[in-house]
Amino acid sequence: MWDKKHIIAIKELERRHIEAIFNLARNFKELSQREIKKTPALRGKTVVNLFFENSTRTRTSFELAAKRLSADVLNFSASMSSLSKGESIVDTIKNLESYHPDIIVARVGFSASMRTFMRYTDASIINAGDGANEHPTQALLDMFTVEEAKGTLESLKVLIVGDIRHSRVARSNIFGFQKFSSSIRVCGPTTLVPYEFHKIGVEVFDDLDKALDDVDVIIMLRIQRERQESSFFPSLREYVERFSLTPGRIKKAKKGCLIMHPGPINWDIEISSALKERLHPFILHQAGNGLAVRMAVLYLAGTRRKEL
Amino acid sequence: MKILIKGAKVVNNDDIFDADILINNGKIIKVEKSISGRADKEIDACGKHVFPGFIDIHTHLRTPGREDEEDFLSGSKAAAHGGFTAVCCMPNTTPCVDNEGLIRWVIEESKKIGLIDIYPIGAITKNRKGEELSEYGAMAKAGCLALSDDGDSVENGSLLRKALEYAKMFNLLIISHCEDKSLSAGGFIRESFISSKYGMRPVSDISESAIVYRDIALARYVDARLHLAHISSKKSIEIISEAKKTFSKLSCETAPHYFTLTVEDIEKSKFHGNFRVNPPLGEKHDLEAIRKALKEGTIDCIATDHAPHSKTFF
Ligand SMILES: [Zn+2]
Repeated sequence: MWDKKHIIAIKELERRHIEAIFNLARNFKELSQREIKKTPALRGKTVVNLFFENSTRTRTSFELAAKRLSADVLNFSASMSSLSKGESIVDTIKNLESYHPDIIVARVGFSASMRTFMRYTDASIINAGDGANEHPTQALLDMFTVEEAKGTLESLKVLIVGDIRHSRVARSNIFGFQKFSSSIRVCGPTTLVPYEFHKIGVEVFDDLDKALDDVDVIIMLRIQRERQESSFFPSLREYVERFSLTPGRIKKAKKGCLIMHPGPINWDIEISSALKERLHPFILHQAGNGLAVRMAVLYLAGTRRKEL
Repeated sequence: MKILIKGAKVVNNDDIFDADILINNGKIIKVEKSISGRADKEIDACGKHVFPGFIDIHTHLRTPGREDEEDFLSGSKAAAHGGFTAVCCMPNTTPCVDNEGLIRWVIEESKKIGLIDIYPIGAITKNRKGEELSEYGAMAKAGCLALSDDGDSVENGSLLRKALEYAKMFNLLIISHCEDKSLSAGGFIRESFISSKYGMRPVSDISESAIVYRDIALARYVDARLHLAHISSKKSIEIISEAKKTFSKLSCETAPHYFTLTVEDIEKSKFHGNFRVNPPLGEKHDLEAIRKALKEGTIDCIATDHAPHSKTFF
């Protein structure tokens, strides 16, 4: 039985919730292959995409997902900097309330801020990224893709590489994969990997060659140039030397291991361009799976919320 | 080639005893009472002390950039003359030793001389400016063992934290020069009765101990190794002594002038330039605290802070 009005964090979901989302996502994925790709599931409902940070990929994926479910979609984008001009996120949400939205898909720069917004709207809130806290639908699509490829999410060795400290994708994946008793490793410069994660059983590495040993899944995170500018590491050259995934390094992982990246990839920084061919099919899958997973999430939030 | 040293008083870290020492091709093969037999060279060490080769972990060899003050040859000779077989040299040179190329260059150049081993210390931040980390991975690969911005503290606490964290990855030791320049700027004599008596611009001991406290707190917080250079004050020692009870990755050094001279000696010298050192000489209670800390092991080693200046400096 679905009992979640909002989808805020993987932390707050149980394994059965994730399985329910995946079951639906499989159906929606099949639907996307038909000639008529639309279903009237959310006809008459209003979905607002409220993005205070730029993200064309995530926003368009949510937009298309809502449209496939026949919802009315309102895109509202604003920069975080416009907030300094006096209007707050809360004001924006209060103003939107006059449209009686059913679902608000929100992306904001503040970590763990979604609960605050809930107080000002009746809509279901779907977190599309809150600061460095979580990006639940990205993790759901990553896990969905892994399940498709591996046939299971149980007992896998999953390695997440890069800037863990500032990554909402990393956090959502860590808490997601753990629910299926996969073992998680994180690896990156010591300045960018919070050591505290070892307290929940995550293995912390600062040497990619060691971290890769015997892993089934590798999630490479995007490295932001600002991190070098604020001295979390001295140079991209040194980052690449130690943390770039190369054809030589990949041999240490399990044969046929899955390589993923939330995109867009900085080729030859996170991943050597010699691995382009190898990644290509998964990147295509990720886009399609992202759509299906987001349809499932919107569907669950939009159709079941009356009961909650 | 065999060398035999006869009748020496051998000084070890834990013992002093009479013995002969036999060396074969540069390696000590026997330390025993009255070794007999033939050697290519025999040295009579009667009435003399024989020490293991000293290692000086804090020197300034001024190269590259100020070869008029010191170069690897003069520095090697000075070291060997004083019984030092290895020295570490600080990177406050021009250009600054903050990259793998210069680390490699120092090692290669000193090997050409071959008198002693020279270990370059790399800069914590690029050009020691306290703004960006230098490339520790590349420098470690080239043979760098420790990092320091000696001459300056890393003023920005957040940057020092990152430096300590990042250095852990390569097992590099961070060496702190502890000086809050906002407290010491312009000064050259310890703030004391003497500095007041003569109206000289003073440096308080807090400029050292405040940074000692901060740097230990940061190292402990990220569980990184930290070494504190040229400790000169009682206040610093109190902080270090307390910290060492619970934090084992901390070490520190003092220099000979801090347990042999005080600010009063500056006055006695009629303010001779040779007494001007950084950090400045302390007071009697500092000297006593340092001697005690050396005995008790709170201070781990003595380094010279050998730092030649040309005459025009004064
Ligand atoms: Zn110094």
